[in-house]
Amino acid sequence: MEEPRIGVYVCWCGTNISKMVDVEAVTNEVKALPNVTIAKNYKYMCSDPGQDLIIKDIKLHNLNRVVVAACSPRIHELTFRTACEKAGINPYLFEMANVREQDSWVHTDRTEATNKAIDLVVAAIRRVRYHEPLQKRFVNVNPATLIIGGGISGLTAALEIANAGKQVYLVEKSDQLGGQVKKFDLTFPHLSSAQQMIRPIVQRVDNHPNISVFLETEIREVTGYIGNFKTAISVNGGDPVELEFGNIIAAVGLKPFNPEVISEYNYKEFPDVITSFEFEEKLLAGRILTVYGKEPRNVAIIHCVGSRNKKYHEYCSRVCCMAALKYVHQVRAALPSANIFEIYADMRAYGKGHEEFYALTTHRQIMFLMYDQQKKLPVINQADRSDNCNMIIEMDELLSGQSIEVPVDMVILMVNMEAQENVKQVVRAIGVSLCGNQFFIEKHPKLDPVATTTGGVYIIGTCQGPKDIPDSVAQARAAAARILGAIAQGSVPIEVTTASVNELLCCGCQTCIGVCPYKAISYDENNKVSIVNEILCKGCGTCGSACPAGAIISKHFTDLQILSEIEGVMSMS
Amino acid sequence: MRSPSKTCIFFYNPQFSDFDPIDYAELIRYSMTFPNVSRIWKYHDFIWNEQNLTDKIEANGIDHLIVAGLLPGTVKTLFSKAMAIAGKDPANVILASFNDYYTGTTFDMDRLKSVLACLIAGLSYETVAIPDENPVNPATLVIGGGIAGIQASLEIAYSNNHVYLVEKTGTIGGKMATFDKTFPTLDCAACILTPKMVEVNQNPFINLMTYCEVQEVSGEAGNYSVRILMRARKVNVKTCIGCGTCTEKCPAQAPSEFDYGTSMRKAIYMPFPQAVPNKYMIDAESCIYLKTGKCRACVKVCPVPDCINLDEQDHEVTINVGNIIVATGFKPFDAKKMDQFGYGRLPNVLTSLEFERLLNASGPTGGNIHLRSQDKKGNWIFTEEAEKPEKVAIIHCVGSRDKNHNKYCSRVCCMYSLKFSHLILEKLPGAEIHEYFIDMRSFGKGYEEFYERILEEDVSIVRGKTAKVEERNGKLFLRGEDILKGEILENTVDMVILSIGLEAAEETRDLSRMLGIPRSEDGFFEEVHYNLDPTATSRGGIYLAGTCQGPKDIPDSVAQGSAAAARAIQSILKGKIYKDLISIPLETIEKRINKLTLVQLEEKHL
Amino acid sequence: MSVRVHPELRNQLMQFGIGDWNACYHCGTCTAMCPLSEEGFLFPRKKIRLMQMGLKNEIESSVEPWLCYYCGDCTSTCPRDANPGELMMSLRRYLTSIYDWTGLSKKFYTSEVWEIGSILLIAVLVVIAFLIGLPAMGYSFTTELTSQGGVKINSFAPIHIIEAFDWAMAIVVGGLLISNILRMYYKIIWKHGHTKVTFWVHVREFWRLVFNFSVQPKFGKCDDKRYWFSHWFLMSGYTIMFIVVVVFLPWFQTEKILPPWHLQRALGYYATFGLLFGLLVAITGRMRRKDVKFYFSHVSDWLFLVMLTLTVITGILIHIFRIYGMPYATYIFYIIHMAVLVPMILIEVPFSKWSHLAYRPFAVYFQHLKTHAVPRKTKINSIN
Repeated sequence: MEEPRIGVYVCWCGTNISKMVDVEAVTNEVKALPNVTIAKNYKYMCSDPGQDLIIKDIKLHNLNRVVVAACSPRIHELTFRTACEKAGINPYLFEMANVREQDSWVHTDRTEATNKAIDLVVAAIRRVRYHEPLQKRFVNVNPATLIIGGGISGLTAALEIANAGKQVYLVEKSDQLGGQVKKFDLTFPHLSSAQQMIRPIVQRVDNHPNISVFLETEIREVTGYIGNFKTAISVNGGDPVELEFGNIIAAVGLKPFNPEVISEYNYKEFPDVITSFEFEEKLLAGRILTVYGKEPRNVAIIHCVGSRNKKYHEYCSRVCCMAALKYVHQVRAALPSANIFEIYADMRAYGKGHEEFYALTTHRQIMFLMYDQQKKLPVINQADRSDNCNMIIEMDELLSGQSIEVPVDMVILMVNMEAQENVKQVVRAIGVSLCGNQFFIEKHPKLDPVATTTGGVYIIGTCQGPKDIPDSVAQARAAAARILGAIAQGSVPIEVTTASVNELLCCGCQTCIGVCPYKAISYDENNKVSIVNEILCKGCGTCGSACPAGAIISKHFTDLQILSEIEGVMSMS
Repeated sequence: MRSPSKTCIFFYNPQFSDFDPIDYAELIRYSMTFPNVSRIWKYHDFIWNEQNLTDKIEANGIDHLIVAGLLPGTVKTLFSKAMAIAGKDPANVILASFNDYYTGTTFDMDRLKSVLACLIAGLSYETVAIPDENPVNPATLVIGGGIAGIQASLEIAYSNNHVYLVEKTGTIGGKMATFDKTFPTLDCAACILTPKMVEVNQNPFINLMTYCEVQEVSGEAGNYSVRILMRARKVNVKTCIGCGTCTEKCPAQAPSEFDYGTSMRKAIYMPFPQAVPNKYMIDAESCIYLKTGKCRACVKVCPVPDCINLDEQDHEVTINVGNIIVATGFKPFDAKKMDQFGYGRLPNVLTSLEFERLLNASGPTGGNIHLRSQDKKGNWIFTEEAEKPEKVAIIHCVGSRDKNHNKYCSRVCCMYSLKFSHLILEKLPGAEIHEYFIDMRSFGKGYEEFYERILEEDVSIVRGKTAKVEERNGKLFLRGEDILKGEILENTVDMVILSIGLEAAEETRDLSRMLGIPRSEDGFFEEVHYNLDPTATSRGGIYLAGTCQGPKDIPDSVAQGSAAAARAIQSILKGKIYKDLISIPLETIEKRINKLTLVQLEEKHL
Repeated sequence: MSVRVHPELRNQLMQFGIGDWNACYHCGTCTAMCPLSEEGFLFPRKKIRLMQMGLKNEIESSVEPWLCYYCGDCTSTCPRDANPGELMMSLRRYLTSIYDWTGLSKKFYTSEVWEIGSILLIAVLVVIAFLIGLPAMGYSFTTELTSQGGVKINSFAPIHIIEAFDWAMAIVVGGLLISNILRMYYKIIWKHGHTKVTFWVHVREFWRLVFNFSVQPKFGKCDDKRYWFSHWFLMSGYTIMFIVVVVFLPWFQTEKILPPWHLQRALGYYATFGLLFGLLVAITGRMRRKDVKFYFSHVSDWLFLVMLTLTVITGILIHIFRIYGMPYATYIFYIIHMAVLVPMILIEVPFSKWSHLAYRPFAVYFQHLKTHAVPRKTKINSIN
């Protein structure tokens, strides 16, 4: 191994790092260290000039190792590896020290933070000395795609991919396509028919040569890796069908929240307290009637039911406000003389044409009442005979500061959207993770809202977080773009920092086979040793740490590399 | 799909919407030509109550009725009710909502007829009106180098197809590049954006054309030819090494566009240190040589031979592409229009974008919040010497949700205002912050949680928009109403931040003419179908991404960027692309309907 | 204790003015824009809210509508189509009808037939009185002139009869106004069981009534001072005329032609100019409709302006014709003058727009009574 010539680069990250870490000090500190040929710092290493700096130095001082002290490797490891590659050295001869998330952001004492930064950089320098060049590997992408969920997002994605002439397997757990949209009468803000909108789409999907639909089917397990997934599904009890596909889209959507738990609303107690979804059923049936078969003279619509309240769900369901305003028009058309009460917290008419729709709604003889969705919910009580109405809502009205009572005959609860029951199962099957609100976690909340940390697996629509139709279909197409891109390329890079078995040391105890979460290790009966399938292996390192004989080496995480890194951390203090 | 049977049509045209240029008489005449249309009523010669409706339905034995017009959904429930009462299936109330058929503000009669024809035949317009296909040129043009444009370009490049990314200014990155941190995760905009910018520059499939503008677009879906004006940068992008010697020597100054005028830049300049391409450019307006014929300081000091050519002229190129993605973004609302807030008169009343620069490490104060102060010459400038504000007020909805300015909600202001509060507290611990809002619209993923977090921090968040800002002995005096307390709210602060809204960018008008894509009333580009196709336009091969279609936050813009790319990639993979939806003549539609209905009848008989 | 909302009240209120106040989304701009809105008495937003929620009692017990002089800043800065200024105007009309126990006011405001009809009726009666009544009592349309060559007006319109009639009219109108003001007092001050205002406060604050009536300082607070001046000019002119005609008619309606500088004529001229100026501003304003405050005009606004203008013009003509000795012209215009003046006083002062001359200053008075109200010890309280 030729003598390491290391270039060290410390990033300011604007003020993110520099305000807490004395980058100059760090640079000077490490300059003197053995094997460090050069050490520099710059405002934004990740930017074009920053990367050029590295590339120039590599050529100029023929460096063969690079250390960058900046943010988390999750953000920029790839960026700098690519830079190294451009300069002609193997991308794995690079190491990153995280002095932002793990240092400047979490410390308040500048000197301490600076010392810690030095330790981290030194550790990286020690480690990078023992890095070995690794070769990139690619696998072919199976042009077929699996889509889980037959709602508006799933359907859109399916058509988008199928129209490009690629095979799509669409799996839906219910007995029909169309998802929640199929349950609606009208859509906001143009009040156009949801049924007329969804019907042709379902038709097109049903009749599409490139789409095979599996109804009443659930995905239990998916094996394989990006470009080459496999699953076995049993269509309504029949013998299982093997499906092979290169990419997965999860579009499992959300389900309405059950307001029974909110004691104030007496849902189920009072038959005329109904959820927005139950109201949509009434609308589709054509009649708005109370259980007594009468037309309600007073209709109240309560917003944020189960939303924006720490007791139930803290998040905002994003569509209820507009849906509620939509109901005003629908009730008004059917019951011209009814009193309509809109009981809301904040009117969230944020989308295109929404505020205009809100303004239009105010002219439909309706009473807006504001309540505090966090501190005090309205209470629905039985009315006395003298009230000549079925129920009375008691509430503190915020805009007038009055505590008031509202006569009502029917109450519509704008229920929150929450995760499906089977969400955990789906998550397990396709290997993505859930956030605290039980939504699928995207790769990056801003710049990668549809991809996940698992290659080849995408999440679209409401399962990633509540959304209205336009935002859902936009995501659906976004995922389609990725997949079509990958298919067009034909192959994708896969993990190279995999594990390998030193057959001379392996005692054949098969401990590794038990611990491997990716079923990547098999046992060779003839030679009595374990063998790692490097395509399935994701380089998690579990086997390496479990192996009693120390026979398993996980590339890029060799004992030598780890130990020298630890030495590095200790060395200064 | 239902077979044609006895149908009645109700035209809902109460003229409640300001514009209703539709020739209903003509539509009625046309509808009457269909044998299965039994009766037609106009809004004004019909009593719209359930009794009358039920009678009509029973009397005429109507099984299907179509309600046509602007926002016919407004009355739909009345009809489904009447149908239910008359014992008919409410599902047979069909809406012909003219707002939906990408009509913009001008209504194409032939299209409306087509829509009616389809619905009368019991078919949906979408299934009948499928345009013919053209062969497609695999190259794509992306207009606008903001985050949406960048995302779209990269998506297409990933599929190994060629992209021309045309950007008006000297660098890509758009508005996002000027931000400090992004809500609700508070990761710094530069950290997540610059790598993508670099990627764009390095990707072999992307031809980056900065300081360029689209002049003319001709041709049709699959094969557009686009004339592009390449502004004279006067610095050779290929040879410039970005050393910056020229800027040091340049004697002329102008307000920095990138800093929204909060700082000065030289006549030869780089928009910002991490600009892509990372090269210098000359602003002809402020360059002394170009005005007086003397100076040439930059040329003298430039280490690269004939890298700077002060006499370089603009020129034009023409490119051919199959798809065009429009991502021209937004322009900030001009706060000067609302004189009651004193923006432009009072030096320490800032717009949100100016404040972003103040927060930003590469901004005029190196990321420290300072008041605007007067230099020796008496001009108001930002320096790190100036005092820091102790009390800051943030006013929401400036220029938005206001019939005198923009009726629509700008979607992002609530969140970035909350973000400001957090960042101010971070940079000026103990500072007193007041937020004045109407409705708090924290709707996105993790937004409500962020709002809750800010509520727990030491910030006063008051319901009630401030009405006016005045100067009182050097400080800023605000008067408003605290709605929940029901009191007049008077407050004196050092700095006021106006959360200004988003407006359609200048070039939107010209582009809509050049590309032949309509704009909606709010001035933004109009999508082909509000719900189903927010990123496509009525023209084949032309797509929308990001805020040029309406105000949006970063994740939604990115999603749209990718979504727009999906269509382009799809067409390239297929080798074929749909022509304009609007191009289908009425006759063709009618022919197709006949064919389809025939098929249905046959199916019946089998 | 909680109050019941009344959605139906909205439609009732709509009859008293234009505007769909439901458009208000409560940003508070109007209140903050208003220079007259002060702690404890905030408007217009709070009043819009009461209206939106149909809180009848709260509306009837509010003095705020009378504290607004309609500069229109609220409406021009309102981000929605809520039109707060017009709301306050409409509330004033509504309150006038609420204070009025006869119920005529409501009729006049909500039905044009009633208002115009009753005006015409009274006018006709007046004409009849002059053409038939007086002649029957032996008074003639004499053509002979005084020694100065003036018209012998008193022989046509006998001073003592006219004076008696004036007094009668003044008493009727005054009676009505006072009874309405008592109702106003009841609704604003008395009705509130849990607070009471001591007699001493009533006395101490009384000066405000006089002061506000004569100077209208509140109007002066509006950013645009022009309207305050023209309004004050008009008001003072009107008051002077009213007093002179009712109390000093024998001194005012003389056959002897006094020199122009004589107080009798001077006062007359001042009043005339005051009235004309005020009217000119108002009428041109309502015609140009440039100013928000003049944008919407209820029929009662126009009627009032037209009648007052007619009264003034005929008054001037009577004056001229009398001096230049044109008997018939004088008589005819005298009759027209009365035919306009009488219904105007009888309808407008107690039942319609003109009543604000009393309600406004009293509202300010009551406002200050309210601010000095003290909690009252009552059975209810002792129970709680």
